[in-house]
Amino acid sequence: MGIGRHVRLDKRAALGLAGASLLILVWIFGGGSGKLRAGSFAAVQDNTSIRTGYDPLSPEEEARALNLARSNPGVAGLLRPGQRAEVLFVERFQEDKAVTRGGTWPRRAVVYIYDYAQDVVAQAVVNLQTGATELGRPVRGAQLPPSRAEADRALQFILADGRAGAELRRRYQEVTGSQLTQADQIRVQSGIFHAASEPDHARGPAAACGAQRCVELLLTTADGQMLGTQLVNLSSQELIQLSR
Amino acid sequence: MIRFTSYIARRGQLLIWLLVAALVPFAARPTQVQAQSPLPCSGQFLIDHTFPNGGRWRLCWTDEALAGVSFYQVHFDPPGTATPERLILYSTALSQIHVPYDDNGARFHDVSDYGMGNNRQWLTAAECPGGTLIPLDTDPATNDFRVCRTQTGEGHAFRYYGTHKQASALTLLNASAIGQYNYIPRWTFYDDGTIEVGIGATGRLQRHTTNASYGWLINASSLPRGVSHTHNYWWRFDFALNGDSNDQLQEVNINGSGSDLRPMSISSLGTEAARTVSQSAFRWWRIRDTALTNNEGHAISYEIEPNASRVFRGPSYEPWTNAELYYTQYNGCERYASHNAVACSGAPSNASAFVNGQAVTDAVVFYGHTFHHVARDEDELYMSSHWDSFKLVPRDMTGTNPR
Repeated sequence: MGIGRHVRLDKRAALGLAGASLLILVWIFGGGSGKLRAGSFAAVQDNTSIRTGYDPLSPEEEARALNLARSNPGVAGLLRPGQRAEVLFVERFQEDKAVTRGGTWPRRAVVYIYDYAQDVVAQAVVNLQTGATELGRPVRGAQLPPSRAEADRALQFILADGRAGAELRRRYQEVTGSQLTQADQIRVQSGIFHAASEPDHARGPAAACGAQRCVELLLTTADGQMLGTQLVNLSSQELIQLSR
Repeated sequence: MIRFTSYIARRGQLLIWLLVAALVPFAARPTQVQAQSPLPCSGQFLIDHTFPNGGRWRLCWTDEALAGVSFYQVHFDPPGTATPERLILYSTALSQIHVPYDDNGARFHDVSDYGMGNNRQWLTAAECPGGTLIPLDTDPATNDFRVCRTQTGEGHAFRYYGTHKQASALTLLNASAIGQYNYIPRWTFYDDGTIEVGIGATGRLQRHTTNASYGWLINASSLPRGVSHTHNYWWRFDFALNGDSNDQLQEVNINGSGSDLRPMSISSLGTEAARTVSQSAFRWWRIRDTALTNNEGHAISYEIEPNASRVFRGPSYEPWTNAELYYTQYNGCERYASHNAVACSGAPSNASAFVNGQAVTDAVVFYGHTFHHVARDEDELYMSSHWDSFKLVPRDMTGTNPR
């Protein structure tokens, strides 16, 4: 028993010596720890389960945040069928420096929801460690960028419009020589339009944009040929002409 | 670390220390052996890069729906053993890309209204020659984005007759598609502590006109003309030299333009301010820490080196265009140079409203840089990337040239 113990410790000492000698050799011939790393890149490791600090949410964290948010009665009420509200996107909650200064802080996500009936943004802040969800006060006039679903819906709205839909099909035929039969033949780029950004153009129905959720679509063919731009008010569900 | 508890082990340890003591005088030590505080990020989001000269950058990157690729806790450790690692920026990100067209046909706010992260692009290996692609996540089902990380040679760091050195830089770039444009934000971290903040604009022309006052002919026929327009790039820099306090902006003007003497004036700003570029006064700014000096007793600082060949002033409803630099006290709800309402409930609307007389101790600088684009024939089919950048340069961080 005693001998075994000594043998084990001797091995430790030998290992320590060997390891330290190796470190010394590396230090001498490698030119120091800095030089060893020069120009080299560590293999990329992505362990999504240990994301921390400023790391963006992993897809799993986004899904979990969404599920936790939906279990909050306020959020569930907003998103229940028949309500005109939907999730815009989920991302890491932007913590204030007062929170991050200490070096560690709870992993939190924010779920942004737009309520088209009330024209407000609701923010559900989800603590991914405790599962607690806080639904903040709704904010008016803060128009976050459109989601993919909103852009697709706005395009469907244009295609369904008698005049705008026909014009888009005619233009597509003119540019490509073939028929526009389905929405995925079109590349859609979408952004928010604020009346305050272009007061000279935002007259009439467009004047409500900003207070209401207006999505401007840039439509091109898959290879980038221009098909036109359109403005859709998703709150009032109207196609809007800008006097540009 | 293996713990030594027996006599034999202690003897081994003693031997090692004797060996170390004997070899230290012969060992090359280009960098200090110094414990670094861990950064609050992990995996591919932690960048730790050491150059051949021993200079070292450590920082966190992330991707945000609006601002796109953003950086947190940017640290630089100058080459050589004398100077410790410094925290330079607590955070930095794109703050807006404001794109007004000369014919007033559109005035876009790309960061807040479209989103750089929302419109991130997939980079292929061919777009990152000699570099490494860092994925947003490694799940092939959801991996739709990458940052290209490259170490590049930057030519002469200096030269004096027979003495010369080559410079290196770490470049991090990515791409976002907004409208017909593709933007390529490119951050270059040099081995002397300089940060070059850059962005490329490319893609295809988005708007056309028949009005010769506002466009340039790009086809053989009289139609169409590409509409001239401006890209006003804005960035937000939360400076943190030696932490969140004792920050101070100084403005340096070289007066006497047109005369034979060019006296320098240096003014320190204690409160928030909006400042404009001045080419004739060679104006530049620096953020210094009033409590931290280098080994020669000079306040360590970072210089904001404008690279302004164009100045944009918009209509009255674009008040943030009245200045290039907004010097502000940190406020987590002040993030976008325009359309800032998305930052927080009740947040001020734009950078001009961030300046409201507060004393500044924890400085956040919003800096704007303008590119005016008059289309040319070569812009079809695809526009050549137009690169814009300016630099944040260490001033008195080290007592001598760290390279």
